[in-house]
Amino acid sequence: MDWKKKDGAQIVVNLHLRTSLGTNGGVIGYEGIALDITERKRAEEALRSLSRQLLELQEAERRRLARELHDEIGQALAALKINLQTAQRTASLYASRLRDSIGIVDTIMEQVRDLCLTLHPPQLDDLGLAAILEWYVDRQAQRAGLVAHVAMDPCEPRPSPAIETACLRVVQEALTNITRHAQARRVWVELRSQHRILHLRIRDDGIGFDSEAARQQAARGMSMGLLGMEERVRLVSGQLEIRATPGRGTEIRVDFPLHHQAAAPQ
Amino acid sequence: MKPIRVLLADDHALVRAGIRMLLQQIAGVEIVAEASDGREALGLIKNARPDILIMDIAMAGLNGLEATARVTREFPQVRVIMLSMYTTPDYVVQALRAGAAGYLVKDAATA
Repeated sequence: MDWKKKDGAQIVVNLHLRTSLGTNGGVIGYEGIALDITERKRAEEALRSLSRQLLELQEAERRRLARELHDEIGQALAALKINLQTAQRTASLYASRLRDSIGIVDTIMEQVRDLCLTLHPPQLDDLGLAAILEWYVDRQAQRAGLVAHVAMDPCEPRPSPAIETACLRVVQEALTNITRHAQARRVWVELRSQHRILHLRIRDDGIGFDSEAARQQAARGMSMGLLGMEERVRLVSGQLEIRATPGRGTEIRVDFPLHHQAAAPQ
Repeated sequence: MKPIRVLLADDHALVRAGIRMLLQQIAGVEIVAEASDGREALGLIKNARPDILIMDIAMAGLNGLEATARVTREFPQVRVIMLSMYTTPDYVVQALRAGAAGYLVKDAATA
């Protein structure tokens, strides 16, 4: 609560009050302690701002690296592959070696594509969230041997880049967790836009987990995944809820208010 | 038989050189001009009179999608084949909607 000091300065206080009762049981007054927590609040805000700045920097760097990888290294590899294929047509003597070389280029190109996707898929900026999530979930599910059920609303108007990035990061983290730990067979990913709220739901039919224990582990610094997800969502004013029960799968529910257009991680 | 006239547009010189080499091996195909972005390609069409424009989807300046829409409007006799690094289906749809006759992923195997 906000208070004003005698000198006019605004302070934030934490107020603990209790009623004093008279001998007949009636209220005769209140006693309590007001703790000036202005400095603590300021420090918390500074920390939040720092955390946002760090995420912004990290996202900008990832985007730059992904562009570089895609535009320069990816294209150079494509050129190399075309040249090898051309040579293969003419130099039958080296055909098998050239075929191997083309195989190596294919592997590197696939790795570059994966890196771009993890860093910041260039397609996100061009195509928007729904298209990239659908493609991403299908691709990752296929690799992990999962059956994916994807339902996407076209998001109009487009959410801010900060919200799009936060959604993608949540889905990436969730799919990584599902693949590593959940022993799931199916995964459901839904993106709905209703009443200016963007709803993201990720559900699996895996073994679930004890979400409270996981959160405590995260708070002790043992796992940053869950905390990182929560922090990203909170920085764009979203809310994240994890419903997990051992043996009964996991559901991650995230809601983002769409009016939030603050300059945040892109 | 009259050769197929090809205009090649890609902002990556290495890729352009690779495709040029590949096409030069095919009898009946003639590369009549090269461009490094959509605007340059559009400017060259009138004089080079290509049958086919092979063009990268993502280029600085006028990108491949915007250029395709203009080419199919202004030079309907020219067939555009979109070159791309992307396999995301939405790009294919966008390219076809812009009027491209085909979509070719750059690291596709040669026939």
